[in-house]
Amino acid sequence: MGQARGKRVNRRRFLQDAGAAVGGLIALPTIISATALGAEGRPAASERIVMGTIGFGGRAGGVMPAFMRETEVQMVAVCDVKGNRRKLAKTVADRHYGNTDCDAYIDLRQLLAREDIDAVLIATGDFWHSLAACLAARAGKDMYCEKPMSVAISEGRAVADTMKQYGRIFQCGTQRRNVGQFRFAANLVHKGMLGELKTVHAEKAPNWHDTYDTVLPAEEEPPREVFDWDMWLGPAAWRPYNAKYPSRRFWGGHLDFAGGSYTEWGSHTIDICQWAARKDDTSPVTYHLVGKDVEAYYEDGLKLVLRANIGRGSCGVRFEGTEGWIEVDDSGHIDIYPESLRSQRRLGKGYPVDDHVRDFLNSVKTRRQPAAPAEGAHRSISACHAANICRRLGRTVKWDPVKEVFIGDEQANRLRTRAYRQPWRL
Amino acid sequence: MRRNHLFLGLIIFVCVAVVPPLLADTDTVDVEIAATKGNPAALKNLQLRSVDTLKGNAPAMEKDRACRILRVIGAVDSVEVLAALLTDKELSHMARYALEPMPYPEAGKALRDALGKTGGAVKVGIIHSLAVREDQAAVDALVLLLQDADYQVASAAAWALGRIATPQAVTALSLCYTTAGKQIRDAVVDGLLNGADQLADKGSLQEAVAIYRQLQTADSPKHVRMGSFAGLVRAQPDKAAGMLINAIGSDDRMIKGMAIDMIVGLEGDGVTGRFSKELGKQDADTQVLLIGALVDRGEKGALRPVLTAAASSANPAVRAIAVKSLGDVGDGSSVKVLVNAIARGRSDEEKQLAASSLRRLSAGGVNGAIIRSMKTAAAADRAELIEILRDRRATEAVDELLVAATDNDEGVRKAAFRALAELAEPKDGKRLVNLLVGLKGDEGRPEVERAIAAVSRRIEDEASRADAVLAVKGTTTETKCSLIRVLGGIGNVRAFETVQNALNDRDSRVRDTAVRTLAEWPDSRAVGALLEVFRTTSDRTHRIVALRGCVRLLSTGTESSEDTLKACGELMKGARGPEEKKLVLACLAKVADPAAITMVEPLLADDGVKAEAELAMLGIVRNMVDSMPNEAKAAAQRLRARSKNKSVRQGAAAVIRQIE
Repeated sequence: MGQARGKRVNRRRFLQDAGAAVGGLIALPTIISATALGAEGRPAASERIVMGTIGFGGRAGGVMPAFMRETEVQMVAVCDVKGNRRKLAKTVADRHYGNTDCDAYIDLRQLLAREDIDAVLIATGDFWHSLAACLAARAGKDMYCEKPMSVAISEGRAVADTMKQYGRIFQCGTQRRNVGQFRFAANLVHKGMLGELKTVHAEKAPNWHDTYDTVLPAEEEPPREVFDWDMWLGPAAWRPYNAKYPSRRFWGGHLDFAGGSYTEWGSHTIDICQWAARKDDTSPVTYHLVGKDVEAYYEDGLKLVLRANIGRGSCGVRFEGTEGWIEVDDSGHIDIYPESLRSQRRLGKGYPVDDHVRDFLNSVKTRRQPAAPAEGAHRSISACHAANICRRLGRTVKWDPVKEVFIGDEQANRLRTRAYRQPWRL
Repeated sequence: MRRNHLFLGLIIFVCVAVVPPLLADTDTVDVEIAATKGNPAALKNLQLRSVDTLKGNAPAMEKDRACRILRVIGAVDSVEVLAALLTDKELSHMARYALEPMPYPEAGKALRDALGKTGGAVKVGIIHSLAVREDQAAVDALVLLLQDADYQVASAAAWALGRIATPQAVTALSLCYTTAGKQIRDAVVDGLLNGADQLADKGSLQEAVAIYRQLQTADSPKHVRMGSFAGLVRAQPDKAAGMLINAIGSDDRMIKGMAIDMIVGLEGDGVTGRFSKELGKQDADTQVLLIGALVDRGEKGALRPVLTAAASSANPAVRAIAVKSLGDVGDGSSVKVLVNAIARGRSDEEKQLAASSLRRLSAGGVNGAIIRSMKTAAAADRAELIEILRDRRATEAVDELLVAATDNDEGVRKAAFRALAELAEPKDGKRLVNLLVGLKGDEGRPEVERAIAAVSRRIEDEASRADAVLAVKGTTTETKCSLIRVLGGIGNVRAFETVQNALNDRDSRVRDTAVRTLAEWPDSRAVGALLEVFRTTSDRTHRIVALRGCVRLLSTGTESSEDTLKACGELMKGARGPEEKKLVLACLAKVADPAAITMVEPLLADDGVKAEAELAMLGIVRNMVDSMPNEAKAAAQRLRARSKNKSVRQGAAAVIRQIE
């Protein structure tokens, strides 16, 4: 039932690195478009990448402007089930372009039906990511999809397969793959500078949610134009409206809508660990509870520790090899041993999205895979979900990364997937 | 506009993401399941209670919860009650939520049986669950539903048949495709793509190929043609390379790009060689992408000659990607190409790219090849190659660097000096000293001095670190001064004694160097000598250099409080004006001793240094808070009473509060 097929992930990183290394000298070939400049210095309208934004919450408030700053992008449509967000998104786009042309939709299917749109930014709540991605692919759109790409293991598999079936470009919003300090750390591993990699540490979100499936008391449902409750729920189980549900502080830990602290940061940090370890095509094979944390092991013995308090900022990772170690996070501070491995270059700090956006747009034009393609994103979020299942069941679980099933654990396997509410399907 | 967006993004992010969640919602069925601790009887009891909830008149959300429990622990005997809910519009989804992942055939039968009893969205949901279960027994019913009057039901059936993907299911979809109306066509296509993929994965390649070909028609949407093309390539490994080569040559830029990307994952031998032959037939943009894909394949041996040839392409982008790639896949044989690119590159960027690649080359023999190239390179390129060797930490280049340090070209000499400072090793110490002795003028002098000090410090036996330097006799004043500075960098006992003796040298330049070297001495050993200079010299410059040196060394905190106070007392006694006193006060501020207060407090009345004295006293009382709180408090009270500086008064008050 829903088992994985043989998958192979390739490095496909050369051109990204080349572009980063020498600026304009190896400008990525504009094999698809964007060669003719319009009068205002932007690519001519016919050469632009026409985009829409699906979901305009906190994240899109940062990422959508990053797309609009790219002169070759024309953001023509936005979509949100909340009236105020929908209006705000349109205002942001219209102000940027100095017109009133941006269209606003409640239902993403209307936006996706537009043939003039080439690509979409998906920044909905977590539980909509996989579904929106599959719908977008079937509508022929490329997509930049916020993380986590799924809230169940089977969802991620469906997304990865669907992207392949339709030849779509999928960039997961795990932008740290294109952020200096994380790239530096991963490259140290890739070049063998830390020796044989033995343990990787991925930070989970501290003070974040334990997972729960609470049902809240019914409240009066707003009009659809104000808030389309049924659409917000989408594939999740129906329940009466309560204003607390749509708050990220609530749904972020609710099992129907998200995966709590493990998927919140693990989608970034485990992803960086897997990327550094060149394990974009697999996941750990055993997961153990150690206190409140989870430790996992890959087939080759590499240990993954999912815990809080790594580094000095958010989303810390630590790589330990036989000849050295490095710890990096969003603060930009780098702890490293031996000190001789420290970069002389300024690597930056924070977790800016601009290079990741640029990388996606380059992929839309060249059709090469971007830094965070669907298969890799699925494998890293699978590890987060498996860790959550280990924690929820309170026992060690074993995972077969080829068949993508838990070994000898029926209850764990039942938690791999979740039935979508009709009429939605992946 | 951009600032507005950033601000808006920040506000939304802070409101939505950064504010820590305030949660008390820990309710979950996991708790109830975990409470059973896996005990079979307890699990059974929980299951039966959930079944009873579903059978009774409990509110819908309680039944919702029971379904969630049964989803995880429901045994086969819970299927019946769940099956009864499948036709219930309100609870059908939650019944599927429990039934869909159950491994029992009975769950599948329940779903199939419900098909005929429902319609509309509920029926659609049931079809979806049958698909997720890959229920082959449902194929007959689903094939019939392809013709359902409700297009949503027919679409769901098409989607489901693609997921179940038996030959019968896929054949039915294939037939349906030829006649499907607009409303269900997308679902049929989706079913076919998925079905073909599954057939291919199961080894039914011919059947899969037939489906992909069916979808390759001109009236198919672009993304369907792209997906089915990719499927065709994957399902025909023996024809894959040829198909991709044809696609790379096509006018369809989307297919062309995808085909190039697919090269990376193509299996089989000789792929790099085969596609390399296509390079010359393609335009420059395509060549760049093609080279990128071949590099990502990682077949270095086959790729190197291709890149070597491409490095002399007439197109700058192709040259650039080739030169860049050689840095990742090249070996010693690539050095010549890259050195040539440095020498003859047509732009600075191109030269930088070649230099960057030379720095990255990781194969054996690269340093040796660069050293050999150095000997015949033009002067400017020689300097660049020396910089590269330095960055590569090529310690085997030291011999050649010592030769380059006497080169006729100034740029080469400077580069050699800089490299030697980083690459030379203790065994090279004597030769470096000889180089220093032979220097004419100051060019390279600081670098060679730094190199000698650095390699000397790496000598294991601390006592012998200065031996090579001290062995030099009868030198010029410039060399003598250099050697004194080097000894300052070494900093052992013998070095100190020699520099101290140099304070009495007949040559004023040597004496000056000795004073300055002692002022920069790496440890407090030099304090006494500097105090002596301070007390006795008639040279005003030496006096201030010695004072500053003393203060610096005393401020490191390595001296005892008693010694520091003693030295400060002497410095203060000899200080000739407010500027010198201020320096001593800055030093006293770091002491934690009542005697320091005794030394500072009288200066509170000295208008020339009053401000610094107050700050010093504040520093001292702060240092004493833990060790001598009573004395610190009394002094802080006096300071607060006397000072007219608000921040000093506040600081003193804070100390008092802290102690109280």
